[in-house]
Amino acid sequence: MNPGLFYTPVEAGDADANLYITAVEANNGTLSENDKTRIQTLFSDLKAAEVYNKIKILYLYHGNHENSCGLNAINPTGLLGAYKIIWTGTPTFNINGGLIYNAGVRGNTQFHPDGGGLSFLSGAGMGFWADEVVANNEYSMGIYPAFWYGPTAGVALSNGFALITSSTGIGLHFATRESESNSVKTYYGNTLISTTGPGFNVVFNGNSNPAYVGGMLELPNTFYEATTNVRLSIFTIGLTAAEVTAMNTCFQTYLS
Amino acid sequence: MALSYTLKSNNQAFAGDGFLGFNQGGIDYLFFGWTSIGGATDTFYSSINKGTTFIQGPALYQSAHTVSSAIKNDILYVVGGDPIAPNNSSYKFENGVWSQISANCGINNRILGQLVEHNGDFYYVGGQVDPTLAGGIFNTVLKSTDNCATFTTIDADTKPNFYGGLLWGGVVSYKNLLWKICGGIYDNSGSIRTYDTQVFSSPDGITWTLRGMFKGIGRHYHQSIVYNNRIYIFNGFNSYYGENLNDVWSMGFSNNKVDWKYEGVSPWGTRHALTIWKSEDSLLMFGGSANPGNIEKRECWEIN
Repeated sequence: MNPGLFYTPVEAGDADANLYITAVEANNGTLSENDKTRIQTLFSDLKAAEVYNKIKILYLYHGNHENSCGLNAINPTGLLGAYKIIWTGTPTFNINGGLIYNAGVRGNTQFHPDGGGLSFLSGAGMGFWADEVVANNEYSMGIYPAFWYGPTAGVALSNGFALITSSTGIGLHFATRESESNSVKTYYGNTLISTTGPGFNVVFNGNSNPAYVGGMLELPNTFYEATTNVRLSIFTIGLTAAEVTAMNTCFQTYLS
Repeated sequence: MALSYTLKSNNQAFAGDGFLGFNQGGIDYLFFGWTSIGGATDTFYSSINKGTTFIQGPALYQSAHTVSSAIKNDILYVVGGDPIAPNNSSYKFENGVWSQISANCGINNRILGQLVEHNGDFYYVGGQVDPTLAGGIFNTVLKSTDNCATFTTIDADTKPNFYGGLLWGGVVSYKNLLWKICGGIYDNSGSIRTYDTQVFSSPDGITWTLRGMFKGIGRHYHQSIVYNNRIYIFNGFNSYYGENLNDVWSMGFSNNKVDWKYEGVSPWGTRHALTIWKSEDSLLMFGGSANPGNIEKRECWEIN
């Protein structure tokens, strides 16, 4: 080797994907090489689609362990603001990433959308990828009192309650309120299912009720448990229809 | 390289938050400020030993705290007042002397925005109408090409996702771009404030690019400052997550990519509306309000 030359190794793959993969393995998780590749592709695709920067939290539920599966993929530090899930019950996971229904299990995201930085100016979005037909009238994911508050008492993504009311199957279920918009749009895949409002206003849901996965907590202590298996859950700032489509394409590739 | 902290003094004769820190001619100044007992102040303090001791000076031209200020060519510029006494004035502090630039520089009495010097011009980013959420916020950016004598609006209130509002401590010029980091909306009631996590950059104050989410929780009343070729973000406030915050972050930017680094917790603990300023080749920190009870503090630290 020529002593005058120094070789600086360049880490392969997306740096943010690498951080997440490293964090999964450091939090008792195990990942196959194939899943590492899928994660790399997802991060690259979300960035290329210019959606990555608009994601606040992304739970991919990787590693098949409650520690690793609670990590926020885009900020897996575990610090305040990383929104690592606190589990109630004994969760069960898809070995390739996903949350499988298990009675009595719920996930406290520690995320208060308004306190965490989302508002009528940033807009907001939340959703999940169902791995099966969503059970009728379940609250698959939600916040109460609602981040989006309107004629109904809250918003939950499900077959019931406020929004997606038609029978939906495998795929992306997503609700978004775009920046400074007075309406909430819901999507199944790329398809706009409903537009609710006007009349929705941001309210401040306080310190006592963070967003949950695996269902929705209605204060003071009623928890609506979801039974749908999901592959991922996501919180974003407000997304346009084009961005929802772009994001959906990324998830389709990731889960194909 | 990790930051190092040296306690210069832990019990100054004065306490408070929202001071304006500035170094000129080897002297460190703390202008204005606020205490829960006396409200906003028109006092100032100076130190010739990097914060070990301070001497109180005569009254300033106004009582204020969390004023909008920026530095150009070693001259300190201040526009407007504070939420208690908004005004449209602009002043400068040069060679140890304050002088008025304009009695009405055109900022429309806005408060809590951030003044920044960027490529020779001044930009006033964001701000609020009054200290309530109901009063509304400015998503506009004002620009002055005549050293704060006059400001004109260069960015209308039409930017999707762009948060104006309480940006005191949240806007800097770095690597030929303006950077807006976190912010939100202040409300006197305390219970309905908002806390932004979005990070934007702009070459000209007109075109803003979303650079993603701040890696900590959303916050306002933090301090952002360029040091060692990175932006450091110290502390802040979020009523949903324990009120005063103790974490420190840094952000770099190269090859059109942002990188974040967690810098640990500050040795002074939780704090909002603390004051961090450049003091020759290091940083100094003074005051701010802390948990529990939002109590104003009186210690000074040096940061290297």
